[in-house]
Amino acid sequence: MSIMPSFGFTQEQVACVCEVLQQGGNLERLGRFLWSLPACDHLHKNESVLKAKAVVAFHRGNFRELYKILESHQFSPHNHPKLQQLWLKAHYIEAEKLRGRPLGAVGKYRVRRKFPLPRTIWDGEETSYCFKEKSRSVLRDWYTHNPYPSPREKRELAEATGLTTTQVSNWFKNRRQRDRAAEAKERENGENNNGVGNKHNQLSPLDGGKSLVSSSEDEVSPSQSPDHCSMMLFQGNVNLSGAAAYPLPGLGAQQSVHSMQGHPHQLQDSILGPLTSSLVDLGS
Amino acid sequence: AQEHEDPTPRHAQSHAPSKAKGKGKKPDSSPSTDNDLERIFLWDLDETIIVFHSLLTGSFAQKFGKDPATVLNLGLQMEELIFELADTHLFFNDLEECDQVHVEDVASDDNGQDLSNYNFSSDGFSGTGGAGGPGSTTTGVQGGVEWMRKLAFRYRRLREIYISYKMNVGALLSPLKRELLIRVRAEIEAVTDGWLSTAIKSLRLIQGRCMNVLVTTTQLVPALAKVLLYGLGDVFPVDSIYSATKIGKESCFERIVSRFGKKVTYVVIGDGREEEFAAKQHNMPFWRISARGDLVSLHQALELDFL
Repeated sequence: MSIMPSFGFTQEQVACVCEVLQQGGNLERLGRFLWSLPACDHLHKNESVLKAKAVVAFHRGNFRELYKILESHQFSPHNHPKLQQLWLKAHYIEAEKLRGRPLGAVGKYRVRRKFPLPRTIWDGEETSYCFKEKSRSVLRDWYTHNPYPSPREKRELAEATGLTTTQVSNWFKNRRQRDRAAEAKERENGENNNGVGNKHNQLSPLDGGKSLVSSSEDEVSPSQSPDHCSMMLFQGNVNLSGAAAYPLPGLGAQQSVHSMQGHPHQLQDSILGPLTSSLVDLGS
Repeated sequence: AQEHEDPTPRHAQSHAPSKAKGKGKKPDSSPSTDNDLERIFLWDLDETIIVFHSLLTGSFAQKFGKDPATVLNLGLQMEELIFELADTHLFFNDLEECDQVHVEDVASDDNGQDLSNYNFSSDGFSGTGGAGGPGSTTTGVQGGVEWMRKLAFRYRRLREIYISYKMNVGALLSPLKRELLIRVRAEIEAVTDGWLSTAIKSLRLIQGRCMNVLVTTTQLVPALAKVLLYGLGDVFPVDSIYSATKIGKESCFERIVSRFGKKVTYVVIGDGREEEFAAKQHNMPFWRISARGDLVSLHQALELDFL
């Protein structure tokens, strides 16, 4: 915080003026103010001052100057959004000038590829459309134990995943919905296949999956205790029933497998059916 | 200078957050002023505009190398004047326990009746139970409709008194106290090297082109007393004064933004701490006042059209 003898303002006050004029959109006045600043290095490296210079440069169409400012100083994260906008807008405008007409979405994409955001105004985080894998696995895990978390449990999950409770709620709701849809589709397939009598249709595209469970096929029989069923079901970290409110998957599986009649083969297919389709679904 | 208030009943207007605490309420402010309003300056009171509290704590004397005993004495005299005015004319005894953020906050409980012959001292507001406390039978239930109405009357009268005497607070005091006030103020100005006068230069400049709002951590009634006694009554219309005692400065700022909108640029001026943090939370630029020189710089910046 240096006080210039002839220039009566501290660095903090200069920064304040820059912010005020920027927020007020008084860019002409801001330009004049910046021009009146003494040539003190300290002052001109101040982030608010640099931001102001960038804004003024953009306003004047002085894009070379703008890029230079944005690239040669590290800006703090809270200023990134505004500065990224300036960078992109300037490049879009230049591209449009070359093109002779406005840029569409693809054109803008190409510009962004050609002129990636400098790390001075960007933390490198790609726009991500999915939750982090760690969060997703926490949610998935939880879902297998209980697809209906209570409000309090949702809050705990939110904390554990770094998401909001709304995001957690939506994730569960969507997951249940998708499971229900998948299961309904399976039921449909199952019925079609049973009608034709070809029980292997649904397994054939999934030979890999089939071999995965085939080793335990012998263990699958109606006389088996539910625990074995649940073990097999959990091998692929797969869960079956979105509709089941019960934590015991064995029971749940039985619920969803409506065609089960105690017949070993039927049981096999019925259990394997949804299982294999869920195996395909492992990427979810 | 634009007059933002008029003495005729305004109780129908928006600042009635006893029902809805200002947040969702659409502010109504005279359209003519707001269309041109570019800036609103949110001022802290103590140790920014006036020097008062630091006189009492000794920090002013210490920081600026003044005689502690003299300074303390001035502070005490001023304090006595403030609380005497608050108690005698501004219903502080009645209102101390039911403090408000803004003078219009209980207006919705008002019925608008004529108060010219109303006797505040015998309307039973503050009976033997004390401001309608739990055990009181004479005053009725605190918070009951009748009690709230009497509360609203007081704030309405408060508002009227402020408007009437803001240019001439001396008329509210005995001749002796009037003399004392003039003397104490002069001495404070001397020992602070003209702090208040410097601040007033900026305040007036702003008043001419945009708007000053006061946000103080003093309770509302004593804050009004301070403003009147320090001669700031014409710089701050009564509706531009907010007390952050109950809700904090951050919430106060939020109320003010709700009232005036986001198209305005807000500038916070204070001596640090709470207002600086509140400004940051609202992304408002902050002008720090640590010494009188900062007020001088502020005035310069305003004159040069930098702010």
